[in-house]
Amino acid sequence: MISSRLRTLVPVLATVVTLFLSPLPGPLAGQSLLSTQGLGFPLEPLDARSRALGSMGLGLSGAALLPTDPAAAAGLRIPTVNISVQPLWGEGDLEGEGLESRSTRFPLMGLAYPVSELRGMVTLTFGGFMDQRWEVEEERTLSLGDTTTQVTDIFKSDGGVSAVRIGWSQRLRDNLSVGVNVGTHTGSVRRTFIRSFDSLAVREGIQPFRDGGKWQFSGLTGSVGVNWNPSTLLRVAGSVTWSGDLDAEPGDDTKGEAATFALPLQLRVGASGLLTPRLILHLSASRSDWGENDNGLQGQAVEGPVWGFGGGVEWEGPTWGARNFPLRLGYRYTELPFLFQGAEPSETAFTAGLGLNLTRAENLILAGMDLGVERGERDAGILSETFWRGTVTFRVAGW
Amino acid sequence: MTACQEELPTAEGGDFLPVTAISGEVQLSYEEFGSDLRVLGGYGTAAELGATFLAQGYQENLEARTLLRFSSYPEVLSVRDSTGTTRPDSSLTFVGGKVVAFLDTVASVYEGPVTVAGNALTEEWHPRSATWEFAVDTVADHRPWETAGAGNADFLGTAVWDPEEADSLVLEVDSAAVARWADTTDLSRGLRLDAVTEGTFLRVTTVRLMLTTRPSSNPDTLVDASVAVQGATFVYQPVLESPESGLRVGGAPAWRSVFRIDLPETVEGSEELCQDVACPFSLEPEMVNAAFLVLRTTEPEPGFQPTDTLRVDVRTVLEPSLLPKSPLGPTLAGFQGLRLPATYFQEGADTRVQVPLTGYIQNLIRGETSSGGPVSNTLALLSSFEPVSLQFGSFQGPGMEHPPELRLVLTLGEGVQIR
Repeated sequence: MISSRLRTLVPVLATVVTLFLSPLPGPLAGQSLLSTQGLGFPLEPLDARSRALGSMGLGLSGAALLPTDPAAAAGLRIPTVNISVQPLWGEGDLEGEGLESRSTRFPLMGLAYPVSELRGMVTLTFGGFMDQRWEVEEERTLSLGDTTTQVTDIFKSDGGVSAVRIGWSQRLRDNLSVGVNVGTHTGSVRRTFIRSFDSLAVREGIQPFRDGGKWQFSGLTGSVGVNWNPSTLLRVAGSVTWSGDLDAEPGDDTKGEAATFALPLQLRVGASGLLTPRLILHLSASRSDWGENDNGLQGQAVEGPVWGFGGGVEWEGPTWGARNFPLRLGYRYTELPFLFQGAEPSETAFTAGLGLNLTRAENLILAGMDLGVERGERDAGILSETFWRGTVTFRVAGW
Repeated sequence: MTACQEELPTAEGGDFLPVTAISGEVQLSYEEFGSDLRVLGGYGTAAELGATFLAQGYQENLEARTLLRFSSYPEVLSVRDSTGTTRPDSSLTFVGGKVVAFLDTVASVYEGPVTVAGNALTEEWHPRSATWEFAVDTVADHRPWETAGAGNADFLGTAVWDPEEADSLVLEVDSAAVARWADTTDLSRGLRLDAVTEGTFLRVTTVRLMLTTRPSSNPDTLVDASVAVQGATFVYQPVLESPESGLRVGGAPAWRSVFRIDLPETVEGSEELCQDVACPFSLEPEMVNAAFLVLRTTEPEPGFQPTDTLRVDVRTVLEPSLLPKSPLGPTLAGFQGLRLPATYFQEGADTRVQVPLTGYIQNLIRGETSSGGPVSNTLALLSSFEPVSLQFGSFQGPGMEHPPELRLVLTLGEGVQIR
């Protein structure tokens, strides 16, 4: 029995291992100038269905493989692999100056494997946490002896923080599941400062000044969650994510100092209810408090709790044989944790999406793809940004 | 996680730079970095130059003469006989000839037509080592001329070169001289060309001996046969000594200026630099954006002012204890060297010249090259090719009005941090 399962799972495992070993957390792509502040721009490890429903990542109907909802994997029941791809196109305005950004990233990859004897699922997920890819350029005129020269300063940050987690989802009763995952933050960031001198003004070649270094991130994290269906019409869920200090250790060739950042407790709640037999309403919220204590961020974090709210509706959509194609609409509002020039930033987005459940067996989706599209904007005082964010999640399951 | 493609959001200006960096300039006086200046001469020989010179009272100081030795004459020529058929003729009678000298009109200095005299040498001489004083000046043989400047010679005649008409001069040679130069065992054979016109300076690029022969197969016809130069050099006076102060680069044989660099432990920044950083401060290789050896040109001795661009090279002296014969390191100034126009060295010369030394100074601070090799503290300033010209460049040295300086463009950063 076990050997036949393993034979079936080998290709799936090979795919996942390949993906996990391919350049490890050179974390997620830059998507906002808000990445310049604090630990960067938050990157949630969400799949396309969550995005399309404006969700904070838990309480969705059915089964899901999400690190933010460790109990939701219990419903998967068979080996499952999820991979999400997320392109983003952004535009912004910083005091009249136009900004553009474009990126493609893999915000979440996951694997779930059942242990049927225990009515549970082992999960392995790899997801984003903070994006630290950004660049600042500044031109100025300097006096060098009896001449003046124009210099260009460029500060580039490339990298970010991710988290890899292993978890267990346990079905306690038909309507009650719990889950837990533990893992570590990982990833690195390379920060580089370059000052270039205008060779025309100085005539003789002047080498640019370079300084910088690379820091490796580490730190424990873990979540516990519960999914409860008090009736066939309603599901409620909650999760708590704890993180230990995030340590940033400089590399051997880095002169910069090590740093430690205290990460806040994150609380999430969500619920889904049937409005009609084919229409589901989903609501969720999240809360974290970056400003609770001395977190090593030297006043860059928002004081007080940071909230996120979202919700949407999912219509089961047209069917074609055993296949169905759900349609989703939603809206989400999230406060971002790091101040931008003293202003508290926030993000709002209208969301939509489509599910392509290509192969189903009972309520299990064996092969499917979800698409999510968000049109949103961010506001942070002198900075305003708009963006299109797409998310595509591929799901394969089977023995 | 991986990112497939990126166009990072880039802000221009504003207060987003999370580091502060201060750039400024530091000037080190020669006393602060330099010592043990030596000007060494004698690198290469005049015969290696590839051109010769004629000068007569040039800038009221320089006299230069060209010495030439021709190759053996042709023994067989293809000539057309009386029937019009071309056939080899090995029974040749040389009845005279002419010397054709091509001149570099750009590098020459003259006012109107120039008269040049030809003389047949009568003393044994060595084309590769002959100087104004010595006919032979090799390791094993030092033979002075009986009269300095290859003076004992038989006058052959004069030729006038009119620069408006041609770029070459033609000196007729009689049959006696032609016959004398035919004997290749005669070590005294040779032609000396002298400039007669006062104040001229001519650079001779190419010389050919055109023999006039009467072939046996067609005695009514005269045929020209070309003879190449076997050895060419020039001798000149005055022979200069090393300068008491100042630097000298170039010439033939060539001059090199060698000195030692020892950077101070700490440097005092400029006033504007010290407004933002604690002074004095220690030098770090990463701080150095640029380093220049700053020199002031000065007028070389009369007659030796460059008439063409001088290319200056800088190299490390790998084994200073072996000077003047120490091997040198690779060029620090690039293949073509630092180009200094001739105008930099003309009357009243006082041009500021910056010799780039950025990589070398970074290595010197680091104590090793980027590949971990040793760094010599001794530098040599020399011409890119030795010898490249009779003239040389001169620069002010220690104790003069504008001694050498070391100019450093530095950037001091507070260090990039994760916070």
